[in-house]
Amino acid sequence: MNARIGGRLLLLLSLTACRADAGDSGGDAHEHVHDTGAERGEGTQFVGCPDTIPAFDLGMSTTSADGRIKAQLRGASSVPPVRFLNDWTLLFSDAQGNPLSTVSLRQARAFMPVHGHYGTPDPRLVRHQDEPAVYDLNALNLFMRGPWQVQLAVSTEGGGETSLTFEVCVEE
Amino acid sequence: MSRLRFISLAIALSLAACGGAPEPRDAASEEPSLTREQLLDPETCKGCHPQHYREWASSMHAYAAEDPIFLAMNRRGQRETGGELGDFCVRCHAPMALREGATADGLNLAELPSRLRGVTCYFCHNTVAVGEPFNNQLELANDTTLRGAISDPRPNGAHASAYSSFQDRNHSDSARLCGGCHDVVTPREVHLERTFLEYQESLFAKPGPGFDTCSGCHMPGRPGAVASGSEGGKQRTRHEHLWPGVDTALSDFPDREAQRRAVECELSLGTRIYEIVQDGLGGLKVRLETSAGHHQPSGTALDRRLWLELVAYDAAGQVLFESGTIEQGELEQKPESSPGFDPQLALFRDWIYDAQGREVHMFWEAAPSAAYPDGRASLTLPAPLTPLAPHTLEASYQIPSFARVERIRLRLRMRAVGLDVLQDLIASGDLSEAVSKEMPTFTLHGASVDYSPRTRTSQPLWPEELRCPDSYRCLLEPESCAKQGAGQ
Repeated sequence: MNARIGGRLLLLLSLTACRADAGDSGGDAHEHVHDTGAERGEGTQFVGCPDTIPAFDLGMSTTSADGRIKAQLRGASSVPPVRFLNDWTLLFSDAQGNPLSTVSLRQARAFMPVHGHYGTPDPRLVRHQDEPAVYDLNALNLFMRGPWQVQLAVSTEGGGETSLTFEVCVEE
Repeated sequence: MSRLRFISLAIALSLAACGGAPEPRDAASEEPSLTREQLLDPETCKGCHPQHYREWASSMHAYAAEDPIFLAMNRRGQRETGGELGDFCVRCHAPMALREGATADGLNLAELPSRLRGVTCYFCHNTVAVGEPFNNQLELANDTTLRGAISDPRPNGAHASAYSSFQDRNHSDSARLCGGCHDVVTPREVHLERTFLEYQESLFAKPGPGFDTCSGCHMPGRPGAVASGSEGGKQRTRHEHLWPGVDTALSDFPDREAQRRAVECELSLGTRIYEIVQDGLGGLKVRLETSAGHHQPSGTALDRRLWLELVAYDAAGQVLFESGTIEQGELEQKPESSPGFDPQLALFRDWIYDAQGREVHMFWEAAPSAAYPDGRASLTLPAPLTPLAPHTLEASYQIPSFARVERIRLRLRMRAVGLDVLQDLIASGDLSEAVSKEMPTFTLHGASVDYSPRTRTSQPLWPEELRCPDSYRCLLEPESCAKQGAGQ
């Protein structure tokens, strides 16, 4: 190895953010596991999608922590979501269900908690010109099977910024 | 029997076994009809599993014994070691040929029937045990039962079927099966390929919600029939048999474009620029991270070349500084004495050394030495060890005239085999120059951005036309794509 290059490149294995309990929970939750059959070895099984994740359907919604804003899934390229790239259409409304024409979706990103990584790049955000409360999320990258969060940072005129999260799971 | 007649008979038997009938049959009354000899041939499998076959036929598993780089290395290795290399390469590149006694060193592969070349259906689906997970210590039943992940296989007229955890992508045994060949220790005890070891040490192999297997990522599943004629039966999951990684076919081969796009997707989706840090004085650090369950690059990392391309522009679009701008057909790392030497090149790969500690290209030359006790050095992006812990590699640059820099384009790029390795094989007369020209340079789009030093923000450079997985699946399954309206 070129010593100069080797000297300039530093391996950063930061363990400071490790969670001591990571990997200890949710080990028996999913239907992927076959329950019959010969030639089964001892070993570890893929956990898959926890029961805590709601069924994925058009019309499903999530509400911001402060209760002010609701996001509803109005369209999706795949139901349920598939591995790799997905396109979603979201409708934002207030707590009473009225479309929020002043909503601004600042960022959307896919996060996989059990692996601690994002699906990059973030999806492209396109606001519908004729429906200002509706956004397209194009190329939402869910590149692994398992549970994901789709995290949204939104604001409304005079209402400040808040966040919403869809909990979804890629089965395969 | 002539090969043509044999294939015709095999296909006829397969079709007879499948029936081609849309309705489920009274399968329980059918006796498996295919012999072991017939099951050895992937062409037989094609009759009932046409989509699996098409994917496999365009995969590197099918190409394993056709790959001109493998053939060149094996030929040269046998010559330079006086035959001591023996079955080292062919053990994984044509395992059935070796086990059937048709070859001892892989030098006669071109003369063998295609059913014995490459990593075939039978080899994986007949495995019942794995010894030590390196250098192919897989144990086959050598019977006419084919194993898979289905726990309640339907009886059929072709072959007996059984569940096995070695073919179940939800079970850790399946990773051991892959590890059988994706982990290689040379006769001189250099741990050359460490993909399975890297996996074992990663978060992916730890019991818990982060656990997944090799095929969990490399064999995505979809609902669908697993054999023709079984439509309308139980809901099954059909797993892709393409295994995109980084290697691609470099000669005439089925569905080459689909394979290249699949590799482009695989490389692009799971690698990212984790962070860009600047000191305002021209110092720039780019931290890169992979989500793979193994290092990046992995496998024959001594041959792989992964590098970061950086181009800094001023407000007028003039290039102020560049590193890693390597044209197609251009050497990745030039000698220090040559005009194009790039002193700031961020290159990720393994290096191997001989017993005297000198850098070498060919794996059979690698040996432990006082300077390099493992016979190698490695600079590769590590796999995750725990959730939420960064596991980055950092590339550092000193950019001149930094105050004038308006935009920095960063692209992570990769070649499966470095041009220096190919040129070495061409020089020894073992590889055609034409093959070298076919070596693609991939851009890892998930780790490609335009960065603004002024705003400290990045814009992704993902090409809109790259739709994964449709970009490659639509080439392999045009009918289903047309139905979905998802084609490009």
